Amino acid sequence: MVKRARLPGALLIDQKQPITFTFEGKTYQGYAGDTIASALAGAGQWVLSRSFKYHRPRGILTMAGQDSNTLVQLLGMPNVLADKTLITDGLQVEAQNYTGSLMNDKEAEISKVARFLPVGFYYRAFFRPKGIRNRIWEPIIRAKAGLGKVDTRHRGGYYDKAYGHYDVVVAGGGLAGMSAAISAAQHGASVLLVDENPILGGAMNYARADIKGKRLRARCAQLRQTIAESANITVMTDTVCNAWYVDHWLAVIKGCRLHKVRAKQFILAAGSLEQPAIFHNNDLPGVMMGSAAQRLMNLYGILPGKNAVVLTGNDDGYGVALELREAGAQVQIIEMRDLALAQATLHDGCVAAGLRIHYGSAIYAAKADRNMHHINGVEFGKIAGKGTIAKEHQQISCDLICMSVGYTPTYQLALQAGGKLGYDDDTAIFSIENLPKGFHLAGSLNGVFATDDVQADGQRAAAQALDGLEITHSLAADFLPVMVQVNHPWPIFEHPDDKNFVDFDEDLMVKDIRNAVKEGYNELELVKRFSTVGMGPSQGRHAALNAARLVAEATDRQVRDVGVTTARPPFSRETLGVMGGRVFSPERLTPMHHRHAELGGHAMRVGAWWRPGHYGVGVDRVAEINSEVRNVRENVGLIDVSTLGGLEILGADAAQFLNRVYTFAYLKQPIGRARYLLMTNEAGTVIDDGVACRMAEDRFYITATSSGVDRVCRQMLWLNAQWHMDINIINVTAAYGGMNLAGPNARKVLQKLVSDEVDISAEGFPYMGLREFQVAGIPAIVFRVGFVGELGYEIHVPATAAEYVWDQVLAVGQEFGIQPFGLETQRVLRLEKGHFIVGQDTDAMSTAEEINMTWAITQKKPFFIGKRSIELRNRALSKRKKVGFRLPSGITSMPQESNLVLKNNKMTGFISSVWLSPTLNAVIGFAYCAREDAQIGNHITIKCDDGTLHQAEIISPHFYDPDNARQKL
Amino acid sequence: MKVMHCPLNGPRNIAEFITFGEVNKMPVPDTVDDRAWAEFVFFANNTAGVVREWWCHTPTNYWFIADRHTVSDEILATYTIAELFPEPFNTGESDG
Amino acid sequence: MPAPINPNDFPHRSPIYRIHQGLGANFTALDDQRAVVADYGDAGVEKAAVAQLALADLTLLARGGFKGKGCSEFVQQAGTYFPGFNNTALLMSKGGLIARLSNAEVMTVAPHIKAEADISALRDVWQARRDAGDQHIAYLAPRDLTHGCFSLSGEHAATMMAKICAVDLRDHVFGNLDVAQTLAACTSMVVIRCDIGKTLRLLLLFDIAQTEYFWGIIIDAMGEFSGKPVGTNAVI
Repeated sequence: MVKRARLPGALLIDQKQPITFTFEGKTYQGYAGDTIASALAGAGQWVLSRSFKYHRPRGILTMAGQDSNTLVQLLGMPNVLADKTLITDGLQVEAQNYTGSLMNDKEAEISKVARFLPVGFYYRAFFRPKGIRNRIWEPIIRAKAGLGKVDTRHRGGYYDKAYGHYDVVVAGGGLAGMSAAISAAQHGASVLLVDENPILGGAMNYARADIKGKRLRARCAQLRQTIAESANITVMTDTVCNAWYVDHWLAVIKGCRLHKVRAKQFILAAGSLEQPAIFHNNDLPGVMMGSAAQRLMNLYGILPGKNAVVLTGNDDGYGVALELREAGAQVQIIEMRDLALAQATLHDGCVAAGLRIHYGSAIYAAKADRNMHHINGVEFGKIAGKGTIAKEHQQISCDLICMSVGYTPTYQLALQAGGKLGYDDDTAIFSIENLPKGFHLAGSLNGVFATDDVQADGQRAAAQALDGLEITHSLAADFLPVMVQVNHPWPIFEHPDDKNFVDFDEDLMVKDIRNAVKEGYNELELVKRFSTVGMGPSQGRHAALNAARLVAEATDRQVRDVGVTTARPPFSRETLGVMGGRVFSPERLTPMHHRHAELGGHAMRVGAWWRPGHYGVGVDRVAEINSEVRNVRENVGLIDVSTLGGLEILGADAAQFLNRVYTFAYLKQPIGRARYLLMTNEAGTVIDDGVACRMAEDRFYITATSSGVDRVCRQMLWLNAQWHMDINIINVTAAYGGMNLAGPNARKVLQKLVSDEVDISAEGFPYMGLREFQVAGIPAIVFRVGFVGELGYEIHVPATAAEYVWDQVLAVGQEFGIQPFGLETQRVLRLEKGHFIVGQDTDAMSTAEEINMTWAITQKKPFFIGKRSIELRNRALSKRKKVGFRLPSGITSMPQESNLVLKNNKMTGFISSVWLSPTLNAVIGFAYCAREDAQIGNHITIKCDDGTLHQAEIISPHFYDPDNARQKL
Repeated sequence: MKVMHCPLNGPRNIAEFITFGEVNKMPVPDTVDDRAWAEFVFFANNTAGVVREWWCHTPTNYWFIADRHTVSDEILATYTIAELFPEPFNTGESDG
Repeated sequence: MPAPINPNDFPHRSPIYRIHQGLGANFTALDDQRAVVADYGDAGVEKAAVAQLALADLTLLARGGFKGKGCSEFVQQAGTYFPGFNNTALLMSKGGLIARLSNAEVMTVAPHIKAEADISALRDVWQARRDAGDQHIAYLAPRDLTHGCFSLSGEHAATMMAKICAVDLRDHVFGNLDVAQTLAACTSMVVIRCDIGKTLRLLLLFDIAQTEYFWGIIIDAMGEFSGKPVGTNAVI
């Protein structure tokens, strides 16, 4: 381990807190505040990864998390940005994407056959001979694909989300952002200021605007202080504003928390992304952005090289050179512009410092030794024309090349919001137009670069935000910034051996982009898809501009015509944990929920509800269900039906309303009676059913299916919003606990729970009757329906007392053999009785006619939902009909629901319900079959899962007690 | 995430709402011909422009109407049902 | 020392009485029908928690509702004011709340035991008029049964709610006696702010079948602020 002294004044590290970690099994020491990349750089380890395709050594490029050269693997977490992730004691870091070792990757040999792997080669390779792709190539490619490894057992941290509301959100805490935040807050706006770095300041923390380099730091400290003292500004550092959505809804991610922030006004001051120059070997460790070198020096106290070459096309490169020189490096400058253009403050500072400047020149190639672990020299010459260097080259040795050739705005959020990125080819200046109302730009993102101008631009953005908030102010609405040319229009240079990279993530070289165009992909979007340029982890941050320039040149157009790119959320990586947060999956429990668990119930999810399917130790589900079926038929059973939807329909027009919404007749329904409800939709398809209990002239208590009731309620409110009838609808589904007491002994049980005055005799409380009386001392609504085909009472009591009543019924019923029964049992009982279930025995096309329910349609009503369509469909009957069928109990292959009904080997229907009935000792079920076959006594062909064909006999669907004698006891 | 201005509850995230689609006039079922009835049930106008739609605030089941531009997805105005339809309509009877 | 009250001895129970038992709750009988959590064992700690962040289960306390034509007239004629705006509430004489949910619907809530008299008084007036044949006095909505009810109090209440609810409930935005009908944790919730003295307090009302769902979510969300469950004694 090499321990090197850090430069003084490093902003982010605390040298009093050393931290030890490992990389590739080797121990390193850094300091609190170091990232993995800076700690390794501080120890002289510059190789961090191997490139995607050619396995070339890669290292720090942007030092800002805006490239993927620095992706490393942590325990349980692949593809972590080493230049953003802090080291912690004991952290184990591994490199990715190599075979053998990072420094000696056996797969680097692939570079030698690069000419056989042209852009898009995989679209034409791996296909012959036939079958070879799946057998041979796919496993190889899968093993090679991707960078890091996912550990599927890894359990991350505690993730959650939180909403936030602010008048103004400022994304980017550099000079423009801080200035905007302060101005807005001073006028009373609530402000959220977000920055992805550990401290505010942005480029002010590492860049140089004056020769001595002090100005920015001082101003930055002052602004930070003002912000800290401002009560209206909430600061979130180490936080990314990762997406903009309509009406300024922002995904703001800090650690494991997703802040869902609603802003009234949004200011994007996210700065710029420095762009690379393209020359041979521009991707190797030791070649980095000028700003990367400045970050290393100022934030982490690391001198990136002793012998530096700065390639510059703007004034910022001179700031880099001065920084390097002050830190103790030898520096030479390769200036792409001629002397005349290069005049500016920092340039003069370099001249005064005696630094060697080569004007009008560019780098032809970076040099490195065989293993390419680090550059060791540079070859350069005079620029002879666009993209061409004159034949006479100079060579000097160096261990650092800094590129300072231009920037793109950090445009992503602006483009997510619908902004259009424009580019002027002559001036190489960007613009962003077409932003939505309330979305403001500030700073270098807005094309403003001079320091004072940037601060003023922040204030101007705040002024516009305050205007949007209708807060009065006296800030300047507009000003004219100084034009600063920061982009060199063509920093792209040919080399006979290529390896001049446009996209570092995807290992795409200049020739690859040109070849894609030659293949016919002559639009940027096509080049993108064919070559994958811009599709890597950094999503074109350092590739989009140069790719657009090359495509424009190859198609004889300007970049402004070709376009640069668009952007969609997210701006940067998001983990699934952050997306998931606390998983809110609403659950509804009946009042008897815990009793079911205590009684051995097997819980089933039915929509948002939990219901017991059946009770028992779980050894033989079918036997346990059948045992419950028998007990209901022979003694008495109790089932929790609380989930059944319940609506109160109240008002003078209540009966008329039901008449219009349902197919049956309700106007003359007597008080104290229950009546079946059938609902069809506008197309005449059956969509819900239930029971209507008439409690009073103007009061109905109706039930609906558990999964349909919320939709039915909403639909009824929608209908009445149009019909203006005198009714009210109250959803009381959860307000009442419901239980169905069913079986020949049901009356005996109920008798013990009601007072003597209550007449529950067969005459006093007949089938389909409805009564209100106390059960176990609790006021109850009780009605008799025949869903399971036995004497039964459906008892509805207030939810808070339902568990109590349930207990009383079970206690009192012991002597009559009572047992609880579950949903699956109920399904068997009702099937034996011939009752259909909406959604199981009906589908999106089922009419009442198909399922033998025309008795529930009162066609002579003037209007009901579905009437017209039913009439129409009655004139053109469908090809199918639902029938009951039977098979002998001894068959070895049991048919299942959804098994097909076949005729001449063509599908004519399917099974919707089926069971080997313990009551009838036969396989019974419902099926849809061809209408012409649907006669009792015919046979239909059923095909089981295993291919077995059965001939099932069509019988009456009223399998059990067809005279309904038992339920009318 | 869009903001919808509910006439009852004020500005809320659009996640609190569902839509039932375009506000349409139901032809009188008893007199309309089969073809026109089928088109009413199954066809949608699919207008590229401002459409008047049914919207429901799901936590309250409060129904209202919104004008929305289907191309820009901008919600231009919201109304209570009473202010647009003070009388019964779509009742399925000749005057409704 | 009187025998401890067992919620199982009463017919009406909170859906989460088992959770309360698990936390060591001391129950107190409201009448022969209901027993509620008095405290979880340390009255002093609970009183202090109320001002920081505290959760209490008020599901068994009285609630009511009136919905439909004639609602506002009935309320006014019964001697209570009908709140002037939708989504606002008023306090009745004994501390009961009447919250206006729409032009034709109110919900009445007793945030503490003494206030139950307001709830039952209004319901008795309605019943008397109904028995006398009055038609246009709206209809009863059984809000004591359709909804569960929690009290969430303290200086961190609004910040905690921001973890599950998109409506801004901070003091300067959501005032005392404001009402919000919205979603929380992906399902419907009514929030009524009803401060306890100077302490911000939110009443949370939701589908009674989701009482256990919400209790778990709020306990989890409260952890960040060291929030605590408290009994009804603490939130009087």
